[in-house]
Amino acid sequence: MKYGLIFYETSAQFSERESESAGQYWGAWSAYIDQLDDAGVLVRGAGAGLQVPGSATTLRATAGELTIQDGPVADTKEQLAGLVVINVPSLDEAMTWAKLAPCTEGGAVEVRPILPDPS
Amino acid sequence: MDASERVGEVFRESYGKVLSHLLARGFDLLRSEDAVSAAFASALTDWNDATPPNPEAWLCRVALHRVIDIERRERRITPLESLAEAADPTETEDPTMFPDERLRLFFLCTHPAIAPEIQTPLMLQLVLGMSAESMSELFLMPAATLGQRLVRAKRKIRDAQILPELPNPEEFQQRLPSVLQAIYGLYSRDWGTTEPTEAMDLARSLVIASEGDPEAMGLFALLLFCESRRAVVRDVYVPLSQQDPSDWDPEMIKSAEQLLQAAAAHKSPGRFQLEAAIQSAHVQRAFTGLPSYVQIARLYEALIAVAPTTSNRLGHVAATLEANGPEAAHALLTKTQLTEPYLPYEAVCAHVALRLNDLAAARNHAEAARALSKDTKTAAYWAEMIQTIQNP
Repeated sequence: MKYGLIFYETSAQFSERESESAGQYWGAWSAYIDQLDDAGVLVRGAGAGLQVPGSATTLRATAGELTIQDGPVADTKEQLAGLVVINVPSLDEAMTWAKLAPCTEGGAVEVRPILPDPS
Repeated sequence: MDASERVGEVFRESYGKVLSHLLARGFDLLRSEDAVSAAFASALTDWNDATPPNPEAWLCRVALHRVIDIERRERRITPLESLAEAADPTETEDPTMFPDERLRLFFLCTHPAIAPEIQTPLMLQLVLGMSAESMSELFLMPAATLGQRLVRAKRKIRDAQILPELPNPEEFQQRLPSVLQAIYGLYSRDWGTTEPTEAMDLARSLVIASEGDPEAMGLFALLLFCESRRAVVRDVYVPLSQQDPSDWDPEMIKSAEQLLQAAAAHKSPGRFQLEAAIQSAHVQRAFTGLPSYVQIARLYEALIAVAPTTSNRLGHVAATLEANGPEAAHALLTKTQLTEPYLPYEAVCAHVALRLNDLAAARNHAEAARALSKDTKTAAYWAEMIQTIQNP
């Protein structure tokens, strides 16, 4: 069973990327991804890290009329920071991996089952 | 008894067992529910001549065939499921041998990924087969809303692959209180009507599955104490204080006392241990002739500190009546707030008023208690009480 681990960070967490502790920040993420890969649960090539929310552009169309907004979809405390796909037998195992993510403390991780293969 | 009555009786006792039998074999929750309903529907026609010797085994077999049919129709059978097909239970196999499967069903409903407010209705539905309509009053929610939320919870279990497994030790501890509460609720439901063997089996398995958790032992001890006296009130309602201790089952009392002692050794008291300790204090009457109401009142104080329910407060009032007299009990009663009519409240008020020699108040409360009685045994008890008050 495949699950998406969808990572949300606070603005404080995003700003760590450009701070003195940037080395620690990136180190924690690469150690986490390596851990998933070493355990054989990571679905390679199925996820990505995202740049800061301020770099986003949002498009919406209402009755053919397009509006373009500078910034992410919603202005919330936690913002989408990236996602990975893992393959584990149950929600409980997916949750065990989610707990270990660097952003869980302070930010959030959403565990969402991936749609099954239509074949 | 016709087939529909017999099937109805088996449904009450066996719905959750049959459902957990399928889930334990890796079948999907929503399909399993459909298959169990279909098995009960077949029973309505097939049991016209005679009930099979082991109705649960019959239902498990029919439901298992049905769920495999459904799986086949809707998609390929996966290896796990064809394995289940090979392990087809025979008429003689007794599914009641696996109470662990039902425990797993209880724990499934307490999964933290399921909204807390729907966990209890979900347990009642999956374990007891209760419909959204029948639970709507209990949970103060329109049947349609409750039904939708139950379906949403079940879809989540299926789509997110929440498995019916016993959780790891840390999670187990967190989820245990809801499971204890559900088993106690199941016992209470059956107490007045049928043999509560299902709840007893589950409480026993939980002691084993939890490796002797003190509260699990407390619950099992509590149920054993209640069971030891159930025969006494089978046909006629007799208040505890007026029962003859020699009618109580000494073997069950002995087991209950042993469990309670083993639980107390953990020095981690909780709601069910305290409730069992109150029962134990009542049972002391069997040996000394007198229960220690002072001790019982103190235990109720400790119980109210962890579980401040109206029912526990009323128990405290009743013990205080015996330990410290009617004035002290009356003072406590004036502090008890009720939101709706409640028989135990009227009962305690009637007894306190009687001891205060306030016959008019005693009669009013006894009348109210009779009106609130849900069965003829209890109503008969209060009718007699009213007679006694009128003609002392």
